Amino acid sequence: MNWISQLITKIPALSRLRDSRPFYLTLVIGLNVLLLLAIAPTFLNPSNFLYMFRYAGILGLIGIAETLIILAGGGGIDLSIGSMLSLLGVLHYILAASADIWVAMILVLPLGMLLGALNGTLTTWVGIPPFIATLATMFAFSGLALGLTGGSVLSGALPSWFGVIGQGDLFGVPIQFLVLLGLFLPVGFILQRTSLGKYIYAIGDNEEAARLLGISPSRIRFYLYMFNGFIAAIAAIMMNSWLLTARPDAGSGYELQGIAIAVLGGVDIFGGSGTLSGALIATIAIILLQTGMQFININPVWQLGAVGLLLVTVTLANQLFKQK
Amino acid sequence: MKIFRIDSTIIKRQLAIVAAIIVMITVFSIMSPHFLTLRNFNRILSNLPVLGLVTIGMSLVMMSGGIDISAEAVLGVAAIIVGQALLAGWPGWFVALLGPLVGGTLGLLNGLVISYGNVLPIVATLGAMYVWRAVIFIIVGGSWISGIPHTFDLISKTDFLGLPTPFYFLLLFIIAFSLIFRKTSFGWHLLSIGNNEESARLAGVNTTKIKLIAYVLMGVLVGIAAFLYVGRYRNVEMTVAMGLSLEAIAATVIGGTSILGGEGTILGCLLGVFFVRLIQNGLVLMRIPSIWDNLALGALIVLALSFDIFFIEGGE
Amino acid sequence: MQKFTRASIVAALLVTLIIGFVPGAAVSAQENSDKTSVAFIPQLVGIPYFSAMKKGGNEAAKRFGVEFIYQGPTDVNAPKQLQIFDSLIKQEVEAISLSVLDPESICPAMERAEKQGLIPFTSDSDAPNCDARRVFIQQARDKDLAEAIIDGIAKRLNSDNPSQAEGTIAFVSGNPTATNLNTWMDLMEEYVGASFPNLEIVARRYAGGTSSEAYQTAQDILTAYPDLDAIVGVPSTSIPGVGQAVADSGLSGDGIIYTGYGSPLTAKDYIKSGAMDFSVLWNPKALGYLTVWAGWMMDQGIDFTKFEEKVDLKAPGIESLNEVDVQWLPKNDTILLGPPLVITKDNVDNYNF
Repeated sequence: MNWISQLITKIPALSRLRDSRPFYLTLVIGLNVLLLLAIAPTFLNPSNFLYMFRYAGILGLIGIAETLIILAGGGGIDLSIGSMLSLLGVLHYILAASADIWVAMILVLPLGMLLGALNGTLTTWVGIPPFIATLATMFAFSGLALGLTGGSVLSGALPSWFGVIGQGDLFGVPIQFLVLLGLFLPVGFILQRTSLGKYIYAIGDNEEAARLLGISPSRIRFYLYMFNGFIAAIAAIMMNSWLLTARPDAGSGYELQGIAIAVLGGVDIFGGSGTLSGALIATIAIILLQTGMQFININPVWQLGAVGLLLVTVTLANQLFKQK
Repeated sequence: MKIFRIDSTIIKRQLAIVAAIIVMITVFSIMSPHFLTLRNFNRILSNLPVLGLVTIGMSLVMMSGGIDISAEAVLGVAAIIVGQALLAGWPGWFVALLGPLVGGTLGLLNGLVISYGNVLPIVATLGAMYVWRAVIFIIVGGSWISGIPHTFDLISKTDFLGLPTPFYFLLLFIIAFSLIFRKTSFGWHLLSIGNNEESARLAGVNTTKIKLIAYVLMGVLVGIAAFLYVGRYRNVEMTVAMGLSLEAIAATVIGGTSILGGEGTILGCLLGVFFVRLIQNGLVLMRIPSIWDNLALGALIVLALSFDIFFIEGGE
Repeated sequence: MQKFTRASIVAALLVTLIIGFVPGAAVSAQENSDKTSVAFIPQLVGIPYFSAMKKGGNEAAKRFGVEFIYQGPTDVNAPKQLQIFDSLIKQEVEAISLSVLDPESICPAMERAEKQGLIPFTSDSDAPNCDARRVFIQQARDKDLAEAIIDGIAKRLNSDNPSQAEGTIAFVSGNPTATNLNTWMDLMEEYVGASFPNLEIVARRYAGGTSSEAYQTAQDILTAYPDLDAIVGVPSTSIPGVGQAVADSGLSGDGIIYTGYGSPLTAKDYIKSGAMDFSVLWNPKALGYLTVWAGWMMDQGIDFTKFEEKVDLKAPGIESLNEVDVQWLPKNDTILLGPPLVITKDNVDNYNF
């Protein structure tokens, strides 16, 4: 294995990269592709390969949401986002069934922001630690989704043309992935190039210093929680379109996977450092790992186990470098 | 010997939870004739210990600013080994030691990755949870461990002086850990790490070692909980203990331990666990349709904590 | 030291991936044969019920020279099931069956499979309104299953005149979104409402998927309704927990009627100790066997849908089992495994699923 490490140190560009998380993830993706090529060559023909990106849509959105909220520091985290997705999906369906599908799509976005604002209020103005506040709303939102549906799965009122967002392709690229990119690009731009982005990094890095500069951490975090609700609403529409069904448990488990993506993508759990592109690459790495393993019929439970191992090894690797 | 001075806000916060518990008991008693009975309270207490022991461990790691999401999966792995050993007819005393041994070993792994590997607890334990869940699946996916012999009935199913025997277990551990916590430097060191790890290290605390010990203790407690779990339910399925980690975190925080570390008491665990279990019990007895369970649990946690913050901390 | 660290990191990454892929490489190496492939996607993997179906499927695969693929989500998760279905289409598996979690979302995928010349069909849980779905392998009629439970309770409450049986019944279900469980509970309620004027269903509670939750829920129900006459553990995940709670409350034997849809192996302990009175199920192993057999037959070009009337079918290998009575039902294109199997103290030892 020595020649690899020597190679990494000798080439200056790689040497600079070796501390960056996306580098490791890209390495993982590369290895993954090679292994798949060896085991199941048909997996990587273009149509199969592009098809895989369909599964990156919702997961990537949740990953971006978690990355943003963790980035802003103050113990920020959103455990409720999966439940929010479920609840918004149910609300979207009910609105579509009782009024109109377009009305539903337009209304569910502010509804999502409202749910997010509730999280924001509890964490920033009431002052409950985010972990526990969003744990409570996680129970509450999923409970509400269950209560509204009586536990049953809602279907029948969504027209099949509506499925195009979740199921369709554009030039072979799944629309789910295009929606993800459509959110990723502007948000990434705001984060890296505008003063709002700088404020988000600043409050995550050093809250006190940011406050002295006249930035209000709680206000920014409040808006970020609201924005998380907005993202959850987009994810809910996509989920409903994909399944043509609203399930009160549609989003369960996504919160932890979203956190795993954020962390794999290199965000500092205490805030202040991390990038959206890290989250995007992490999403692709996880999806490639999971669909690749599915394609050769490896039991799904191994897929989660592999994500767990990946999480620990990648962060452990990063830590060992930092310690030099 | 250093004795950590317990912050008076914690006591006030716990009083607030006691007040909330009293209000709940009053409401439930009015709504259901079966609530305020010896039989019902006996049952509530008999279902506390598993969650209670995990919550004590969770408090320890959370006071040091950490967290353990993998607790439920560690409990599952330990429960499988305990269950298999009982089925294989191994002697009870040995099996009883096996639980904490397995839990402690898995806790040690978490601790090593966190303290020596410097990986953040939420990351390390999230990864560990996925890995152990996969392991659980491989062992019991397909055929559950059922028909486990009644070896532990004496410990897990009997009453002693009118209270369920397993509840004494919980009391014993609460008292023991409270004492360790207040009378030795361990508790103080733990809290100082949670407050500010860097200054704790500068003050001469061996932060790596203390954190490692906290995760090993967490594992041991989870292992004991696994032993009680198997004794009580006599069945280990693939989904064993799913959701328990989050319940324990909720109970810990309700009991007054800060999620950011640096403050908390062991006694608070008892309050937190009782609070969570009381809500679950009360909802059934009030004959509220089950579909609203989660909504009620979430709303009550928010109410209790908001009350706490507005009236206790706001009054400072 | 530095070099060593770096090398070890790269090694760790490699190991992670290899651990992930090697088992699959071994599997796919065997796959490159010309055998017909039949796949079954359960609602979730890792529970004894579906594992029994897998066993039956494997037996049939061996007998008929078919390659059997068994893949499913680790939790009840419709999108994941869809993902697995799509992956099987991409692998061009000839006959793909599944126990449907969500009829609406799976239908477009079944249409895709049909377009590619593959045979999509359902088993255990159906998507009745989907045209692409070739046949449905049904374990037993839902109505029969619901009635078997209620009739058993009524008979034990009033052996002389079951229709006048008097009493209260509570359900301990699993996940609130499980369609099949909700269907059975609805049908049981309907049946009670229509035929038993003096029976009443007083509680329907969801205990999730663990035995500890089922245990606590059952205990709380027994406290809230001290005069309860019967308790039903609806999913197999509730069977051990409720049984334990009944036993621990000292209600074994004549105390309360406890029943549910539990496999003989899961229920055995409680049936033998007297905590559980009877269990209603079917033979999931035979169901898995029948599923693979049907997939193989259809791939051979046998078109069941040509039969316009009820036909008795013989699936070699399971036709001698006395709980199995395979029939073709043209209404809804169904292959029925047989009537519900009622398991009591007397016959629990005869089954190993």
